[in-house]
Amino acid sequence: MTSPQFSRRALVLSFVVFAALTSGCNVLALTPTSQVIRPRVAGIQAEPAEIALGESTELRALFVHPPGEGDAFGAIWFTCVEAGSATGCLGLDSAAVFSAGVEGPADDQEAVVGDELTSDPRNSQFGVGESFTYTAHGSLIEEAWEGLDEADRVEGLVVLVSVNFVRRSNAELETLLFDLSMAVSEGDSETIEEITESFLELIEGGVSAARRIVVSDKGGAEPDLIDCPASSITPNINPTLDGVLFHEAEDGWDQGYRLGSVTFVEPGESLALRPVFEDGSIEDYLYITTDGETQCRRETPWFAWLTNAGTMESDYSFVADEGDYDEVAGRLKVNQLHLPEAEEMPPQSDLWIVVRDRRGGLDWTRIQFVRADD
Amino acid sequence: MRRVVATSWPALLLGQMLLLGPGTAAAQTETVSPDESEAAASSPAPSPGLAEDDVPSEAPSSTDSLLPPADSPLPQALPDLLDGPAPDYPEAALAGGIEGTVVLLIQLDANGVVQGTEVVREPGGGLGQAAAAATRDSIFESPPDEGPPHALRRYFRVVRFSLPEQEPTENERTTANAGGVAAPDEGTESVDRPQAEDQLTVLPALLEDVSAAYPEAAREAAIQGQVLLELDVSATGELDAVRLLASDPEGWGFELAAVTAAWQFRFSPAFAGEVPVPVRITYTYSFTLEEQVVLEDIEGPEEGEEIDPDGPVNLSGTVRERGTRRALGGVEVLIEKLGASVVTDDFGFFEFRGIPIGLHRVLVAVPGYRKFETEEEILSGQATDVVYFIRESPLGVPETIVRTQREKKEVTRRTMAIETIERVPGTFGDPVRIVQNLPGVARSPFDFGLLIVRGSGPEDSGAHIDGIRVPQLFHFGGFRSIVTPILLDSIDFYPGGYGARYGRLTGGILDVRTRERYEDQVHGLIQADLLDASAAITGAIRAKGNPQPIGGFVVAARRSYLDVILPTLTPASVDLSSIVFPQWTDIQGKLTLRPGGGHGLSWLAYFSQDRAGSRVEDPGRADVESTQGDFLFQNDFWRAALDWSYRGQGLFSNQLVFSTGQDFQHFDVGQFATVDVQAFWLELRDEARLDIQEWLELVVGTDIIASVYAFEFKFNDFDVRTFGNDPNAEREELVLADEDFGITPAAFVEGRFKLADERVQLIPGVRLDYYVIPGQFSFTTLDPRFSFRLTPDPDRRLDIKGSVGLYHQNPQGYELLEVTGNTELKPEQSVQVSLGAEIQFTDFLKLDLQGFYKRLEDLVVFSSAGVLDDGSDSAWMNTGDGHIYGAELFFRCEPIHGFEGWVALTLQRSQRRDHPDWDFYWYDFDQPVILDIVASYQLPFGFKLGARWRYVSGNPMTPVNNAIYDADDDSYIPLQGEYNSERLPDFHALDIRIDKDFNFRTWKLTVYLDILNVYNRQNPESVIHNFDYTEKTYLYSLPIIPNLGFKGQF
Repeated sequence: MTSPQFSRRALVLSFVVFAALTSGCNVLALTPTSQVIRPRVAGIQAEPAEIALGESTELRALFVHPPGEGDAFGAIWFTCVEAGSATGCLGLDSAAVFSAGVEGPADDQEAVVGDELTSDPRNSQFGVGESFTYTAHGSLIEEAWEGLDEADRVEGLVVLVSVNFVRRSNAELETLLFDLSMAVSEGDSETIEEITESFLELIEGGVSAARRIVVSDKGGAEPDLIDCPASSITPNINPTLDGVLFHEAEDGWDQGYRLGSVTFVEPGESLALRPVFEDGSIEDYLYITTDGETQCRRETPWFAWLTNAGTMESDYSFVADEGDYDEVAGRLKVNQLHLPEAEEMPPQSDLWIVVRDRRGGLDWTRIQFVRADD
Repeated sequence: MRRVVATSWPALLLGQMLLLGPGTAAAQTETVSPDESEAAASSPAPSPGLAEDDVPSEAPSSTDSLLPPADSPLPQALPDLLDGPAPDYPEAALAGGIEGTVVLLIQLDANGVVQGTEVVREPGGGLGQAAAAATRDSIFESPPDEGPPHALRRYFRVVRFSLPEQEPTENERTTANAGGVAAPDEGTESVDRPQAEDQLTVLPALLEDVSAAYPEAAREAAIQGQVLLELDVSATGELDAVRLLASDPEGWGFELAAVTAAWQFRFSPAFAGEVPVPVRITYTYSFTLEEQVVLEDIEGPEEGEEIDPDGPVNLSGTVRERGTRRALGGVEVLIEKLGASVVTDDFGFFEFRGIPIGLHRVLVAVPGYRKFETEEEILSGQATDVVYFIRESPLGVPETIVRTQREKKEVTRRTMAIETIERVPGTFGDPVRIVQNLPGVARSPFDFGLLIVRGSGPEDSGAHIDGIRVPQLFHFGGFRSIVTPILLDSIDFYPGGYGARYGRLTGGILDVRTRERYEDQVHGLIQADLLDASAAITGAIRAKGNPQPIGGFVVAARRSYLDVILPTLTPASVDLSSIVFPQWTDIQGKLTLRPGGGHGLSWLAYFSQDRAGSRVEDPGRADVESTQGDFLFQNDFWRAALDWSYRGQGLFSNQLVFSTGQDFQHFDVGQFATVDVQAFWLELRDEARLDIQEWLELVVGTDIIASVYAFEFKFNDFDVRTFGNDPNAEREELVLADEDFGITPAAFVEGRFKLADERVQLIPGVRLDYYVIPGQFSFTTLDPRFSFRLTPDPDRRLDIKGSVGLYHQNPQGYELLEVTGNTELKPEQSVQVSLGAEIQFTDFLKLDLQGFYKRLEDLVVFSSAGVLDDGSDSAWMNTGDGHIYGAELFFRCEPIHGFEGWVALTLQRSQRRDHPDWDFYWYDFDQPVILDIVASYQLPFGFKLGARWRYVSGNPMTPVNNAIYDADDDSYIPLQGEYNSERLPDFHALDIRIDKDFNFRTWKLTVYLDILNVYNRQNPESVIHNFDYTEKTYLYSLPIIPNLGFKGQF
């Protein structure tokens, strides 16, 4: 049962679609996501990508920046268990824990989760540095795990890990953290408050990012026997990029040359590039639907391209519908990097390619370009 | 041989005919019966007439000076009668059963003593002489000293003679003195009014006209002139009043000549349905010096040969406007040499009897049209039938709007006649779009056509066609309404405070009325511009032996072609793959039959189709399905309505409407999802009106809507476990489907108390709505409503009005569905209060001021704060509330001297909150200032220029303070500031429209240029951020858009 108002609401919806699709002209004035004009995070990798309760994973972040601006930053890491509410934790983590420019609390979950964080020190895991190890333990995640039935444990819980790149070296940040620990142990509230404020100021002026880590028990699944390269349900693994091919033909229908990690280029030239996977990076896997059906699925990875000099033909590339992954000019598509002219070309610049497998697996590769005419 | 002669041509303009309101006619009329005349002392004196030597006998102005002569007599307002006898009722008149109105032209000295009388009009039987005799013995109050010399002043006195056995009716009692001043008298009697919804079905025709004497001085000075008169024609066709509105030039004697002549006119009465009704006519009397060609070689009738009034009809024909072929009624056709003239009827038809055999020169002249003259040869034993097409004057025809003023009952109902708004700039020739320029209506983003009224949401207001709800009134993009203009009659807009007849909404109501009147012949229309093309055909239906049409028909269709033309005109190098070209189609048809006896039957059907879509093959985000694939919006619906109305002579009238229809909507959201929604509708509406007493009118009605509704949401790949919260979650196909049947019967009753000569109108009403989905839920609402209108001013130029009422609105369909909504929802509620005043400054200037307050309760909001009875969380809850307050100003100038326009200003605030414990926020469409200035002017040579300037506060917006990078799908999650705490820049834009008419013999061409946003203002409509929310720009509304088009009518 509806009323004519539904149509008007539908009209509003269509208006939104209309506005979105006709907004192309103005959007062109905005910096595309492939252009790195300020420091930012472009990906966080967890290795392994999926863990079981009590296991650990090591996280590292891809911090991209304009040429010469990346050295002054250090990283602070935090974790948060979603406890059944996926985005709430993401918002909460950012808003309440980081206080990164948010006005007012997100909702009542802040207080609840805040108590949980202090009741068991394992619940609030944090660290400083280029990498961070998270272990799936603590009262919060263990209680949440207990609340899941066996079928739900196959998909598992989600833990949120946040990283903040701030304008302090990792060594300075470690000192701050040490001072904070000492103040906490001595009950020096004045120092605690002072250091906390320093952290918050740093975070507010820094670069924030987050990702999810799946904590699951794949062994508990009982898939049906179906025709599939995968015979059991296993944790997801990260894809591995094995480099980048440079093609002389713009469409990529040639053999191409593998680029070294440092490549000399001419200003103004365009490069037809294609990422290359290691074997087995694209997984076949089993999935049990909410209706209990076992399905055989294959990952469909996609690539994000970023550069701090020049422009990309496309911000993203992905796999073609047909072709062989292993063939040159196969399913992995070509993208083009248009380098700037001489007057705008820095002596050194970077190209990053980040691959995601849509299941939490991630990898990246970096190519450094050096001006050949310098 | 050519010579210049002076002739005057009276012409009935189908000008502004307004149903007479009570007291709008001034009256200083004596009604004389034989008893009274016998009882009164009488001392008849010789009738001196108006002695010319009473007037200073200065020579008329010379032709070398264009100053008006100093001796031109002027009509004046007659001073009050101090003393005087009642006129004798002459025996001859009594014996002959003669009664009627006598109009006298009199002259007074400075002491109010009658210096002379002249009978302008009399029914015969010596009544004129009797009235004149009595007048000569009367003394009036001293005329004011200021003004022209007393010897130059002229006064009209109206004396009504009634036979004793025929008591005057209300209509007949009301007459008026005329003479240029419309000062009403305390003793003014009211005029009966037809029913509020009555429309004029038969216009009054001038049966007998009298040519005014051309003022000698003006003729000698070769001065031409025009006098604008206002005539009140009673329900019997008699003239009740003649008012002088304007004269150009003044002072040459045109005024007195025109008023004197006009008093001698005789009309056929106007009809609203079967009922004769009084009307007010704006009448332009033109004094034209014409060149008369005397062709001596033309064989004319023999000297002394005269027309034979009893002879056979041997010359007949029809007078039509060249181009539109519109029949011109009330036009005089003259055979000058014979001194014979006739006046065309409503259908432009005329006939002469007994024209002598031979060649005759025939003249037709109407102000606003070029003089038409031709020769007709009358042959022995043959009848000549002709059609005369007369051409519009390059100076343009004075306004040709026939408008009935519907009864003032609703506190705020703004009725726009289609003729006045079709050429308003910015509307692209679509009259329905005019509603976007009325007070209380917020500007829709991108002028998208959303109806946002008095701070309410678009879903809170409703559109109707002839009282039947329709899902949308505008096609995609808001450029066009779904109804072609030829089908339209008027547009009623109720921003709030409406009575119990309308329900199920808490916002405003737009009711588009389709035409009831049809031209006498088949007419067609073709229109095309850069957006679309339309065609229509309309005509009358006649019965054998009945000169009046018994109905009519209209069929129209429209199709846009942006999607066809623009891609072909765009260079191949431009990528159009992501550009949306909306496409629309609509078809309408209406058949009306009026078999008589007060019965009317009409069948209306319409179909509307919208498509808009794009195929995105190169997505910006490869990982998000919704950004690639087909995007399609399709919205089709049709309605068919059968309307039976009965409007009797007595106390009862009824209107029954049965309609059915179907809606179909389809969305493709890229590779992500498809949505299909279908609904089948049945609606029955019956409304009976009872005139219980003269002071009490009752409206009782019912309104039943039943619908079968089905929907299917199909998500091709949906993360069913996390519902969009985890981009890495596995996807599955998800189908949500449901089908329901709902029925919403309603009953309403509304009383209208008309007290104190209708100066106090009290309108209480109540509406009962029941809403049920069998086996799922039901609820009942009772909405009492009350409005009033007070008219303290005896001139009835001031109305004070107000309303208070309770309004309910059903939750949206998807909010009630089991699979997507909450079946425990209840209707949203609104208490609305308004208070205002209407001031009629002049006949053309009117001000409408109104303040309003709306309290909103039980608003359905999307919230996680509520818990259902079964313990589950629900997305939709009745926890919202809000309030809206503001004031509206509508200052309008009706068409005068080719100019018309209005200023609409709305000052308002609208606040809501989603939970009683939370703070209020500015509503999404809160626009504190909305200003629309619309004006148009008729230029020479058929040009018309119009302009519209709009200034509107920017909509609220929520700032983004920061963003968190979500590394899983390479996107940024915005961290928003306080909801709607900032505002977009203000909107302003100027639109211009230029029309030019070309008249051909049997068809008319109008070429127009409509330019939107002339100074190309960049008006932000929303904010666009870059990927990480560190940069922003605006999405702007439409840039300058010229739209060139033409309209051909035959």
